[in-house]
Amino acid sequence: MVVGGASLSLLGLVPRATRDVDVIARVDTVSSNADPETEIRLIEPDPLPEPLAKAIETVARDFRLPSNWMNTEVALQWRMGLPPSLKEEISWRQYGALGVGLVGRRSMIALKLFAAVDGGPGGVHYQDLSALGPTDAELDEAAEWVVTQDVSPDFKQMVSQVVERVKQER
Amino acid sequence: MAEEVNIGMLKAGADDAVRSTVEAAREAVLFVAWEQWHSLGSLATPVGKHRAASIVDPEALVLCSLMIRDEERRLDDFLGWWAEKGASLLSVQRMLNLVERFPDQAGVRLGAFAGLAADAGHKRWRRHAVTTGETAALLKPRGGKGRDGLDLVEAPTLMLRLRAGFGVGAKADLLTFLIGNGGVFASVREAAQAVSYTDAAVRNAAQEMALARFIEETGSRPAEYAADVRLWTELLWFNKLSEHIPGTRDHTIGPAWRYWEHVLAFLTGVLEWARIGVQEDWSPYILSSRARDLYERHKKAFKANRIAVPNPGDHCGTAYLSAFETTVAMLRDWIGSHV
Repeated sequence: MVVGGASLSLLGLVPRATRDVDVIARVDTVSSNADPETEIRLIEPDPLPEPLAKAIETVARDFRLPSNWMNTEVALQWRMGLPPSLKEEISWRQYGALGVGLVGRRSMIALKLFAAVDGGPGGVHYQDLSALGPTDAELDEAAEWVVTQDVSPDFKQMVSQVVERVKQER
Repeated sequence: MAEEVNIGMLKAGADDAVRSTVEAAREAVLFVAWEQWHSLGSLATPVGKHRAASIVDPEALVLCSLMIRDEERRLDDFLGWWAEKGASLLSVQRMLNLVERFPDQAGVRLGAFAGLAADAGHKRWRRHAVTTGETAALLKPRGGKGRDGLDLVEAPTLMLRLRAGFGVGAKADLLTFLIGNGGVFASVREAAQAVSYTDAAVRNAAQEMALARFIEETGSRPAEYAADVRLWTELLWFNKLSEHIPGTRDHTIGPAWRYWEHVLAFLTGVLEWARIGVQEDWSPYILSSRARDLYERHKKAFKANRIAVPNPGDHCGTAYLSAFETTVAMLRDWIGSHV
């Protein structure tokens, strides 16, 4: 399951190029229903299945990409918790034998808001968040989850500032 | 290769490059096979201006011929003739080592060749013979397509001559390589990679032959080995044996080693690449990626023979298809002047 710029682009939400493909989870094919749109169980992506890891290596070779062009760094988010809406609005695409889940709009807004708080208004995450054109309700829902990610007193205020800025610049 | 490659079935964008690549590979591999079978004494008519001058790798020639027999059915005749007359000079172990480098079909088809050899009384092949089913009936040789008895007169038959003289094994093949290497010293590792035996087998063979003063050994560690080509060519009478054969090159320096196993494994791999590509409807990208795999797997064919070809790393994505086409064409051209 993919988040970030690749997901935004494939969903047609934000048309921009991306440096890498962020894999946040994979479907537990052992315990999940055969139909990926019902009753899926998401698990941490590491380790990636061997055929996928080999394919990543091959594509990097073929297109002269960095070896981590598809990576699971974003999966660190599992430690602090994923947006509650993550499992609810996955769009599935099939590329040959590879099924790719694209994280939906509400989860993307939540994850982008979280990243934008770290990256500041000049960063790509803030721009993505802005380009998504979130409604007030979507921003509030996202903020509710983001503030749970950091208990420091300043963090809540930083989240509010970003939310306000997005609203103002709409 | 059960059917001819119908390139027209490929997805748009790759047809011309793949067609041209396959044609070059087919032309090259048939040329080598034809010239080398002729050198061994089959009734194959040579097609080159000159007679073949490099050392025939008999196991690679058999495997290559098994792979391309659908392209040229007369190869069945030569394979059948060789299974009867020459199988005793083939190394079963080396054949099994080499078959891993050829497309998967080669392993299956080898069972058919082994069946013919076993039927002709070569007991060593019995264990590998496939005697029932489709494979057993694969080869349909007609008789009378080679000399009644072996007559190893041409310089390219060096490996077989030395096997006939010293026995089938690492010593004969190592000596063949060292003579074909033109007197240049080679390490055990280099020699082992050339003749496809283990390092240990080649090391033992080299040490014993150096002890017998058949070959020279450097005092350095690791030791390197070379053959005195002038003395061996005199002893082996290359020119004398083939002086009556028109078009024969001067062999005062002995026939050359050309790493045919790698070249032929690559070329048959190219034909298989195209066949499967058509069968499975590969996209241009998959074709280009598998072409890179093929080159990487067989790059020794180019490096060992010092054939400069495009570097896959310089060609991004599907752009490699065109570079691969050039690679195969360059190999074909090299073969034309080095067989």
